[in-house]
Amino acid sequence: MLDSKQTNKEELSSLFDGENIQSKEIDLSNENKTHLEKWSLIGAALRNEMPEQINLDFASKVMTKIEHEQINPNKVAFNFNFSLKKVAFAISELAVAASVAAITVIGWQTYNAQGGISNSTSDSLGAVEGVNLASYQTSQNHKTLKFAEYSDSDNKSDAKLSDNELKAQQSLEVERINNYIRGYVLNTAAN
Amino acid sequence: MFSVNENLKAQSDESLVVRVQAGDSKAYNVLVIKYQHKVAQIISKFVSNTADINDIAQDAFISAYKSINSFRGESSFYTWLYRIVVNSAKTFLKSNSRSKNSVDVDSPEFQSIDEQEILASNETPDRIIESHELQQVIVKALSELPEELRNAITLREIDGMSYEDMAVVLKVPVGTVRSRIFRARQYIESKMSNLAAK
Repeated sequence: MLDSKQTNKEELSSLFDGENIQSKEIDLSNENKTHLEKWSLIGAALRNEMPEQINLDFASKVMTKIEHEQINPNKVAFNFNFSLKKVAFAISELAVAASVAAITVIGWQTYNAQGGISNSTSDSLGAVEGVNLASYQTSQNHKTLKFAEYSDSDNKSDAKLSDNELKAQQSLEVERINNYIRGYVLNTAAN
Repeated sequence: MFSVNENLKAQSDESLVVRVQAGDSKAYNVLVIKYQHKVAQIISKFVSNTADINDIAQDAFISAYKSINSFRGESSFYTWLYRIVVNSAKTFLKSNSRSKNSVDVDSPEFQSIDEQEILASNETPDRIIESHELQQVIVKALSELPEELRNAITLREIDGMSYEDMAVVLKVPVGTVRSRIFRARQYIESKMSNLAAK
């Protein structure tokens, strides 16, 4: 059976190993310091980590300096730069995700809309075939609605516009739509 | 000599670091005692002069103490300390190479050195011992240990295993592991006591 002194030394030994002994205050008497110094040397020798010369007073000198110069651990400051970088990174990730989602939605709409429009405009619209006009919504392009009218009114007689003029306007509209879609896709990809 | 498997070194100093962060400087004293030789060995790869090694090691330990609150346990304490030690050694080498050819003993830096400080540092000359003889004594003492104690101290010091892992490997309770390591240390320590400091 170990006496209390031996028990304390055993606890000191496990504390030295970093094992979580929830003991009271650490007893660093000179005797205990000597034990710790020797146990440290034992470990260094077994691991072949010993320097050529050993200064037995090194640890006490370090602690004396800390005590005399009243050196205290610094408080941890909030790392603003690091946090800012993290936020910026998160935002850029979000932007990429949003762009991918937008492209997916447009693609999906385009795919689904192919039947309706292409059937009615295939003869005259060429490259615009399959475009979903729901995505073509800027105020500058108010003629969008007229585009459908033009398509529907192909068979009617129009006193003001000849067939050629109508086709020319349709071509212009198709050109505008194609330019818009090209620009939109390029912008989205650039983002 | 024994080979050290760095990958298996999982020495946990968390409880000591937590104590230091809570303001217990004695716990830091334990850490300094524990890692002083390792740190000195790292620095000896950068500089060969013993006095320089001690100066750099002291700076590194004080830097580590100052920034101990920034240690968040993402790596082991030794890994964290290692970076500080290497940076201290590099800083020393840089400043040394700059000042090597331009030492001005009349500079205010030299005049400001407190004479009392010089006297104080000379009052107690450091106890320096050569490691070669000591290492032989320790290794011999290890070989004299009963197998169960030798296994325990070897798994701990060379393989860096935790008490819990050792308990699994040796198939004994953690308390027995603790006791065996302590007894092994006691025996080897008793063989070291005849070593006189020069």
